[in-house]
Amino acid sequence: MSVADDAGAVGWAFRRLAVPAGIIAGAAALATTAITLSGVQTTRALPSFARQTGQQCVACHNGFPELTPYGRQFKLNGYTFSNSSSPPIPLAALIVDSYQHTQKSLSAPVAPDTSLNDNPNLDVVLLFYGGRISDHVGAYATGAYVPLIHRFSVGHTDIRYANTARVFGKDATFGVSVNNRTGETDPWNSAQNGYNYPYNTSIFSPSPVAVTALQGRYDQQIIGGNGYVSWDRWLYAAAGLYTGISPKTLDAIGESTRGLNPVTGAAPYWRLAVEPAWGHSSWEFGTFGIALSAFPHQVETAGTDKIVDVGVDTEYQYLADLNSWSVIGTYINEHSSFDASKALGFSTNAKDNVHTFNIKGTYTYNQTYAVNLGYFEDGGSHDKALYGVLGDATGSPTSAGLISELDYYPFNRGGPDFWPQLGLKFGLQYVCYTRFDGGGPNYDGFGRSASANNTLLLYTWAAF
Amino acid sequence: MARARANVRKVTLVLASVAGVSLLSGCGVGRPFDGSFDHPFGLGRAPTPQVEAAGKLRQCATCHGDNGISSAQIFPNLAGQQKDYLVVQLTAFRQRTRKDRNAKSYMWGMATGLSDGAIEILAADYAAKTPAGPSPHVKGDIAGGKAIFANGVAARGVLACASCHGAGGEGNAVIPRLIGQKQDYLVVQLHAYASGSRENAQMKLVAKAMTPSDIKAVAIYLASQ
Repeated sequence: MSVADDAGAVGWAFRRLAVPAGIIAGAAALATTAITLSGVQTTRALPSFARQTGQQCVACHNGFPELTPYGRQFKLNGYTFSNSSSPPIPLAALIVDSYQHTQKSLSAPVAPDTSLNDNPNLDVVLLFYGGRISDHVGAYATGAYVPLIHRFSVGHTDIRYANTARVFGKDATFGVSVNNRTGETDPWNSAQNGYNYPYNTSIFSPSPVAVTALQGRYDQQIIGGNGYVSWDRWLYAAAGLYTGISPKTLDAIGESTRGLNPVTGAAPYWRLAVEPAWGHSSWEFGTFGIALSAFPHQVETAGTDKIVDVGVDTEYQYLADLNSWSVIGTYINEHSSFDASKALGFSTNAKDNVHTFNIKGTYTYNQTYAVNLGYFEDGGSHDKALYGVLGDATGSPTSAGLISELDYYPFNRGGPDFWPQLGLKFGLQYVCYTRFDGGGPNYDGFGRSASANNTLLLYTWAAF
Repeated sequence: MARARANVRKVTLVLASVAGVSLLSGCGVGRPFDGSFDHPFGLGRAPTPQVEAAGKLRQCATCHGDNGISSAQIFPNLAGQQKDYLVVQLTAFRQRTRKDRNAKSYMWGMATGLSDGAIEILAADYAAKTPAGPSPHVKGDIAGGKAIFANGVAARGVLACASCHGAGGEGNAVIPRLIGQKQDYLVVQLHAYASGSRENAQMKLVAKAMTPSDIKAVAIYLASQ
């Protein structure tokens, strides 16, 4: 998942915390601390896949982590494509580091020994088992070490069986997966599974409070499985069931339980998509959703909140030898029945609604240089109790802004001779907010404006 | 206590699922049972060329299409391609002697470790498929391209494509079928021959003598047919 989604997930977590009014001013900054506590994740391209297939990053990625049609097939086939009957054990690692500058410094540091602004940081070291286990079984399992808080945790994990069959005279790829986040098996890069733009965000800058369940609020806090089928490479359907992992188990695997709202019972997830392809183009249209019940802030006495997400997404790609384009957009609408939260004082309303929309366009030259421009807009019902605790004095989840990014991938068509599977990405990103948590000039009640959170981020990914 | 039991149940469920899918794969579900069992982790048994080719076809089809006709312009159609040409190319990918850019990106890895037997089977399979039909939506200087294909460009020393690839462009043995091929693929290959990134002495002479507009016209003509 992208760090942005984690930020949102943490924002959600904070809604459930009875933070005394005196520290609300620092809540935005504190929220980012919890990001690291909940395990920073970034999306990625895996050298272990390249070692297993012998192919270069560009075979599967249109500027990683965005997948090409072939990359989607690789994923749908359970990471099992290989050029050897006994490939090496598919281990890989990714190191992410960054430098951040936010327009106006925070009022409290995110973590001990960090600055209020201009932080260089070693964000995360990720370890992977990424690839084949046998002919039809593969895994994408991650472990994350966050140096800032000296913590190792189990990351998102997908173990799946995949195979092919002829159905109605056409090829069908089907599979079953055990995993710990909804949409993990999905082959597109839309916001419903965390593999979406922006692929990295600063952990030292405040993030908007609005976030839906499918954007990572319960990532790694649930476990379940899904089955899927891709028919004739244009029709895709998936259905799954998830349930919450107990706080004790989460603690044992290094996940943060701070602000946790444990999912209880079975949460059904569904997905349907079509992807026509022609010439240089492929164009996906899809819809998805989840329904779940959760205990607010681990309090079980008042029953559960009921949350339903429904969304649509689209992904257009034009992939050519030198000049490639893509546009990806997602809209998610979430209805919540906060019967339990309202009874416990965690929300003002018995029913709330929040929606998020984001779209981005990317131009990639020779799979080496990329220009990205994204726009996002969040909105929904006012809820003083729900959002106020996060430093959103307006009680509104409305935010909007632009995210632009320049990327350089020096080794997308193969690394240096001595290290052909080295993957590198340099990103220069600027996030510009036009609205933040319901307000422009004074969203937190302490005079902080939306534009104060505008953030410049320089980052590198090194995968090997 | 109840929660602890619930956790045990969850963990057991996950472990059983993992064991289940591993066993399924080990038993070779999804293909005709041939009397043998795979090692549970896929090790230790060299596949027959037939099994190897069948597994590889699944990967080939992701770009080149189930029927050998690809959906994307950057990947060539293989249906009806000359078998000998396919054998030579797959061997060149395996030996890494074909070095144009997409050969390196996609095909070097794809062909690594392929046995001669599997290459024969794959080549024969694609050669036997029905070639792509005419593409009436292709627009451009079709007539100009046809003239270059049939007669070459004497003034610049461009040989007629048809002299080797056949009047119908269907190729012969190691000389590839061109008719019905993807336009972009042809353009990229002709530029690769000209630059030398794809090595072929004869094609280098021809491609270097062609102007970009010659290349485009020929590709449009061949793609339209």
